Amino acid sequence: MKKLFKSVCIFLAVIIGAVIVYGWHLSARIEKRFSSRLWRIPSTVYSDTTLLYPGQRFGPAHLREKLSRLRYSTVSTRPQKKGEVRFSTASAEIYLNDFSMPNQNRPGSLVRIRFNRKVIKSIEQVDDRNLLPILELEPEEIGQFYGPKRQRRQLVSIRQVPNEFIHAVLAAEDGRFYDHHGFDPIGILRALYVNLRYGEIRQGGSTITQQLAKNFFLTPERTFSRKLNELILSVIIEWMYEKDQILEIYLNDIYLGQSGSVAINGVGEATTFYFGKNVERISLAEAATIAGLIRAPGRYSPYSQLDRCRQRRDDVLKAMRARNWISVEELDTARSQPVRAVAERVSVKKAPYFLDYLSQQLEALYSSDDLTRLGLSIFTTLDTRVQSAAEQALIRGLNRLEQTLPTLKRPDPTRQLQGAVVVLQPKTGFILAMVGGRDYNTSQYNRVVQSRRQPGSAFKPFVYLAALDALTPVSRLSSVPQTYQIDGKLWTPENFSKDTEMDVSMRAALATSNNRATVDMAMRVGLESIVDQVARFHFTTPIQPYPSLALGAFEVFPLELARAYCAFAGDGVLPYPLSLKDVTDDHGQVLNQRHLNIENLITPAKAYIVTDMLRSVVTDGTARALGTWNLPRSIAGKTGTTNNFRDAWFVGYTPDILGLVWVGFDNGDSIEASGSKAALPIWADLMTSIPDYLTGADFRMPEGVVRLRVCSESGLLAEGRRCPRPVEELFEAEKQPDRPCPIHPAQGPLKVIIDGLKGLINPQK
Amino acid sequence: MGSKDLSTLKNNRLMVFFGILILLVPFGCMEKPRVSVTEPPPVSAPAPDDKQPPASVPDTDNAHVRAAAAMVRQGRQYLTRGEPDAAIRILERSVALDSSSGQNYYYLAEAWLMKKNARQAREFNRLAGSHLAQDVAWETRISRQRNRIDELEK
Repeated sequence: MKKLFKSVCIFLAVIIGAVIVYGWHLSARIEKRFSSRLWRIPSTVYSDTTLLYPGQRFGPAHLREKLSRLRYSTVSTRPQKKGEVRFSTASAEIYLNDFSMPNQNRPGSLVRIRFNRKVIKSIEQVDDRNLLPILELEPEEIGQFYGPKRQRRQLVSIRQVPNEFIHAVLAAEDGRFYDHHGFDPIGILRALYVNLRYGEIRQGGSTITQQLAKNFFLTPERTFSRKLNELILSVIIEWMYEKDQILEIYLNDIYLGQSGSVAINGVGEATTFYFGKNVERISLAEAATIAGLIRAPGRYSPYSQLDRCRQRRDDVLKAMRARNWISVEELDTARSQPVRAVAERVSVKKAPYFLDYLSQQLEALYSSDDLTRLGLSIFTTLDTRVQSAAEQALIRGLNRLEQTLPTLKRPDPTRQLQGAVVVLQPKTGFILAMVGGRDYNTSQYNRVVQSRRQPGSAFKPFVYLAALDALTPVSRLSSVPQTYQIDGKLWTPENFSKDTEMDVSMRAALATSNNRATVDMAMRVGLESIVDQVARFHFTTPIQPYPSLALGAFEVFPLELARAYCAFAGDGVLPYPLSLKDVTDDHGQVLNQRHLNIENLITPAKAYIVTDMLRSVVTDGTARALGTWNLPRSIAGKTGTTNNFRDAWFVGYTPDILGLVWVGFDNGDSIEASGSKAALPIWADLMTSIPDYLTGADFRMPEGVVRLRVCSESGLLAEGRRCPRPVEELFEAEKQPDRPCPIHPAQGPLKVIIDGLKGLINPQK
Repeated sequence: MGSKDLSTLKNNRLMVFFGILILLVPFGCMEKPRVSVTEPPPVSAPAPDDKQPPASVPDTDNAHVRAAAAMVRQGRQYLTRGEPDAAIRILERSVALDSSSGQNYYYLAEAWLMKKNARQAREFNRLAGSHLAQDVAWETRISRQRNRIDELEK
């Protein structure tokens, strides 16, 4: 007997020892797992903020659309909670969300915006009637970087979760959570009884702790050993951590549905996804709805299984009442409410080409693993309104071209007519919009930054810029046909239009895109000097000093061409094209910042003169079709068409905004249309869609530029009425003509009288 | 008094009258002082205080200009608080709204000076100088800022 007792004791000691050792091993595993990053939190990309100010052309419809994208709820009474808005005839009351961005923290408050038709009349704080000169709306989420398991999750602390939400979750899954120590024998027995009674699985016996143990440490198969491990792990977890810590992890971990290919995890993300609100603002009925999803999100989805969802919600509410967590009145009120989830939001990338480009920028800073894991917040320069306008203008423009020229249609979507649009703020280089192709789903090839194409005449402004060292806009250029020898081959540049003038002014040559005059000018100025000038604009393609350079017969990326034009719009300053502004970690700490970065490239005087010549392109030249659109007068731009109509370009800008449009086939087929026919209408369509981005401000004439009345033939001062064709022209101050026209000499008084009479009879224009 | 006396007196009065008239003619022929209807010559505003330069809000109906001016004021506040990154952020937006404002560029240069980046400070200082060339008070401040940039580069 003693021997048996001794054997049993030894056996028990061994078992207990083994359990202790095993438990010790498991606790180490648990600690290691829970002290490391618990989840892969995808990094989120945001657009730029939206500025609103009195006098801005931003009407109620735009505001409604913007706030809808920011997930503000429209209410019929004065907003009481953050994230609500009430629209009336000529005003909007907005309870702003808290605004937290790098270097900026603004608590939410109630503001009123009054409109005068489509113009903001005033913005005021409602509480103190203080008028605000500007209001900044938070940025929009435009994309996320997901890991292999595509999961969305917004981490919340347990302090943020309302008590009724916690009770709803406990009522649904583990009513005795605060009473047990990891597993609940009573719960297990009760579940067994209920399930046997109804002949189906209606209750699970697993506690919240057991569910956590299974999710973090075990595989989902149902075996005895797995279940035993689950029990042991649960007890250890309960021993190591406080109840609230365990519950917090659970609330952030649970799977609560699907959005396309992306899983919705955690209550923080679920409240946003299903009800468009933060977890703090969830109502009792909504909390019970989400709690009811835990068991089977697909089975109880408010989108596809509304009746089941409501029934499940009511079961949760009844369970809460049974535990006296809610009153009878609260139960009745919550049950009477319909289940109203917000419109299902499938996770899609907004501005996909831009996001891809941004990814490339981020690669220099973070690994792809970090981006999908660390929950970074990435703030960009993208303007969602301009982006949307650019996308739609491109699609409309390409469709219109195909309707006008049916031979452009291609049955294979991968071989369709393509286009690219990029919009920059010229003074800062901020990329406001980027559309790399017609349809991202068909082709992810980003033509803005990956496609090298010949710019054709769109390159001429840089040639004319170089020529300003030696010539002036009134200088005469030869348009006589001329043949040049390049590498042993003969080349004769031709003009698109049949013009009869054999010599033209520099201004007119650029306005009408006269090829012969441009090449003549380039040869006079010297091709090497043009190459030197152009090299300063950071084109990545090596440029050779051939005459065809003057006609843009080399390749560029659209983005670098757009960037180069910024120097003309921006007083000679070349900005670095910026897409990324700030990166913060999941605590809001700034990790990286990029700022406006400029380089002084050319004098403001030269920039202004080139811009003024490009205005002639719009008023009198190849882009004069812009006059039929409702656009401000201060537009400068250049069309571009390459040989055989392979590429069509238009680059246009005001002091506020610069847009580049390219149209063509990827395989170089002819599009049978010029830049003014194919690309310009897309540009115009885009700009008329965003009138508030065109302030109407004019280009500022800088110091060092003078406007003089000169003879169009000699380029020298036109005095009196001597010269038959005087023009007002711009000159750099140091190059201004200082002597009168010698071609049309001074006249005697008799001649003056006769000329005067002639002038009365036949006045000059 | 006899008729001869009256006649004499009358002649004397006439002589005095014409004499005065003759004397006044030169004055009548004198060139009147010109009243200038063109812009008055620039008057130097008093040099602004070194610590708090005046935030001259442009008197204009252009909404974007007013908004940009408000952002410049905010940017100055950030600079006063020693937050150059925040100042740069808001001044960048201000440049986008109103690129003709030289004050934008001046304060951007200040922010970059605070960040010890002489190259960027110089670029913005140059732009400020280009936009504010007509303003004597600002020209002085820009010149002083340029000197500080030179010092930083040494």
